[in-house]
Amino acid sequence: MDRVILFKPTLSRLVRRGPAALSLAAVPLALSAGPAWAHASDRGLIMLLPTDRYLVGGAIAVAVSFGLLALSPDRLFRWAATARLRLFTIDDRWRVVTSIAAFALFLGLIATGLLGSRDPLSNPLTLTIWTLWWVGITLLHGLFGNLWAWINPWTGPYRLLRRLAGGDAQPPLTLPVRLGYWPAVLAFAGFAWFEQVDIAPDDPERLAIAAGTYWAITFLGILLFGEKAWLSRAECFSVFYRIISRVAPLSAEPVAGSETRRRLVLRPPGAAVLGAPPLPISGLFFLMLTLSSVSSEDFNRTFFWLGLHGVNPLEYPGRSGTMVINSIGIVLVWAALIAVFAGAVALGNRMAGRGAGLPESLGRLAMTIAPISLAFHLAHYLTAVMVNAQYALLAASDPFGRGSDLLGLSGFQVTTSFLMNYESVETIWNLQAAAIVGGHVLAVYMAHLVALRLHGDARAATVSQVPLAVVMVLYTLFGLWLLATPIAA
Amino acid sequence: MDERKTPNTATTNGLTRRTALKGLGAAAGAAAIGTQAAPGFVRYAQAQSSEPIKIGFQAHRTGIGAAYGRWYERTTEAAVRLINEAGGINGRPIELIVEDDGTDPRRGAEVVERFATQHRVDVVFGTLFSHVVMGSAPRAGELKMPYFCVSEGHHVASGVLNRYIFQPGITDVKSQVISMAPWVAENLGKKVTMIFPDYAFGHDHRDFFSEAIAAQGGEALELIAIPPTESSFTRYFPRIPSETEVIYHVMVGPGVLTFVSEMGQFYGANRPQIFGFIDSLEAVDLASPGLEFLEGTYFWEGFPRYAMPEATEYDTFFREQVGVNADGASIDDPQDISTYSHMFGCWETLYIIKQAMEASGYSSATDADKAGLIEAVEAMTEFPEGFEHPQGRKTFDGKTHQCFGHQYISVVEDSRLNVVHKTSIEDGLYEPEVDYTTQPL
Repeated sequence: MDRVILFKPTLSRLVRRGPAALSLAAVPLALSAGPAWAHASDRGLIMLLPTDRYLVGGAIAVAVSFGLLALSPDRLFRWAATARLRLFTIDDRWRVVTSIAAFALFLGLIATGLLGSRDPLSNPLTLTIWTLWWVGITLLHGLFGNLWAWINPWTGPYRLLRRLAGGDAQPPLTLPVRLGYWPAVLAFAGFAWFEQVDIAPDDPERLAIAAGTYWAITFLGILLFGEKAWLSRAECFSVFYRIISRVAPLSAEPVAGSETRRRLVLRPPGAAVLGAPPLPISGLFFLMLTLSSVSSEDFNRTFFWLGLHGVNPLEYPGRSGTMVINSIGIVLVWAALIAVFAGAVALGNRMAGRGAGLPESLGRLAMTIAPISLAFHLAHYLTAVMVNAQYALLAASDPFGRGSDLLGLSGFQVTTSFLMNYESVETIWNLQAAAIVGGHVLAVYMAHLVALRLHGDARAATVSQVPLAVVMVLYTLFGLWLLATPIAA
Repeated sequence: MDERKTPNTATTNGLTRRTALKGLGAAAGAAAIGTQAAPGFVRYAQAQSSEPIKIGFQAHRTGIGAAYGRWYERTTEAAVRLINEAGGINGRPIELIVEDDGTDPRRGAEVVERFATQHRVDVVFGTLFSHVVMGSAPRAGELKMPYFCVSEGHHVASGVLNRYIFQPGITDVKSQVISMAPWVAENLGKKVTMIFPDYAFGHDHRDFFSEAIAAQGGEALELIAIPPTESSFTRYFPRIPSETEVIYHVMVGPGVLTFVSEMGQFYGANRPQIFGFIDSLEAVDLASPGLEFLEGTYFWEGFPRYAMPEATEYDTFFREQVGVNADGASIDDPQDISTYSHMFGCWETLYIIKQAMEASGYSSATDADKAGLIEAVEAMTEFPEGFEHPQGRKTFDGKTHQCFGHQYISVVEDSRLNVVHKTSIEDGLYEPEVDYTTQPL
């Protein structure tokens, strides 16, 4: 007999159910009756998987990895902190060229957004921004380091303009240091809100206007406050990519005696976090927002959250009907994450007898969230990418919607059968679960590296990490639950 | 040449617009994939410009409806291609303009507005989800925009919408449900327990079917409403009375597989008859794990997913053109199951738009021509089975703006659906609830 039928979910049943006695009868249904066709999506198949075992297993894996790290000899971490394989050097000035190329591409995309197909799944702008860039390029940062420094659409145009203007004039204004990362927090909050709450972030014209406006504001910011200040503290993607690229094994280091050459080095993943200055409190808020916003996007669609607010997930009213609760969800998950993280670090510091150094501990340990952020990014967007990459391929073959077939794809039909097939859904689920667990294990390891540096001796470092390890275990559970629980999709 | 019997020749022989425009020859060309050429065709074809007819396709490209929207799109594109290859509408090609409504009612209204004021389309077409139709329809009425939905909701015929809204390509849920009652009562049993999600969709089934089964001398013994956020169903099954002869279920959403699987655990091999609506498992492979229990149970189908030995040439042609194999799956990817019970509605609706535009001599997106189009649709009474209406013959009520057609009942055998009964159109008729023709244009 089928193991799926034999298996009686227990924990997952508890975590899935949410408020059982929920009454939706009181919700005024202004709409006349008609089928809603909430479909049996991939979640339907995932609900047949023994997800509660994954939840327990993932949590145990993270806890065990913490134990193993605590028992590992110090010299292993000293080696990890310093080991590097030097590769070739590159000339930093090429960034002007790559950035100008990216800017030209950006302009072209904005034009297709304004003038091209109105169908978000045919328009190159929508597909490039939401699928290729925000999912694909972001994940590449976890492997190849800070690519954004090379392909952002501002560096090149700005430096070119500066050169044409003849100069090395100082920017007219100074971005106050006390502002910290708050401008980036504001910008990223706006981005997250647009992506998750706005009624039509996929609308090509709307997206073109939003992206164009953000480009212009950023360019103005650079003109007024200088490239370095604006891109390091106000342009949210530069900040985000700089931090998460510290997870990557590949990084670029300055070359002694040269202002323009940088050397690519290969290091153990996560080691780059040690060389970074601690984040100020605004940086902690920023990084937590980048993580929480990916979590809240799933959380806001769970039957649990919708049920709490009397929204029927089988007749999901769409974005317009859930703007308030989606906004609340973003803020709530963000606030909860900050509180839990800061609480755990403070408790750990106290347990290790280092109560005074809390800001530094927070500022350094915050960066260890980066691999979790990447893991959530992968798990959350994986299925969407698998579908939309097919549309992107079609759009690349016919970029102006004129029926051209540059890539010879004629007759290619987008398929989503992998979301409705038990074996492939199981494979995808395993990949997602592995990403979540792997991200947390890497985070625990990075936190251990940082703690050794903060506390000096291994014993104090381990003790200080116990509360944070508990948080990591809980967040692993939360991440896996988000992937397993029924959602309105 | 007998093109009707070899429908492929209509497309592969290269019936270009140019050839189609040659007067009577054009009418023959249009008939190549249809069963009748509207008389208006010849009268107006030569007078028209070659400006395209703009059809606004209000699509669920994103949001909760995206998975279904994909097959609506494929069907729509196939039908538009065929119509254009056969000479278009009144000699003018169709230009399909896609706008994404995000499966959102408010966005739906915005999209209708955009169709009217920016794209200046001739008609809006293709909306699937009922709540989006409900959100979009008032704006379509205000803008005097003919709006053809394909959602199977009872909203059109219930009278809550307006004169500009039509559903001529797919029967509504009320008709589907009541047409099931005679066969269920006669063949499966008269003592029915209904299990349905506790909101409007489920309530429709509850109300329509319990009344219809009573009319057959049957009885709904127990009505089990499941909260929509429920994800485990075991505790509801003990409420099924032991004298139940038929379980009628219409669960939808991600919990469906769990529901079936748990019902299987509850009953084992000894179960009452079970009847459901394929809406629960539209686009789902019946060989999916957890669905083993469905073997030998019955489903409503709008259009049989699996090609039956007695399938018409129209069904075969429709599958071929949309790219669907004999198992109701994509030819390119046999694991990609189509929404076969519903998507034909897009195809049939487009042919009705064509027929009505030709009958009314529609020439431009003016209020007068649109009014003429509305009246032409309202004047229709019947759509004969054919290449334009592959699902089967339908009748149309111009007062309620809703069509009525045949329904199918199929049994699951070896994880396939085999048709056991085809209802008559009369089985699904009910008293009209509205007369839209009394509303001003």
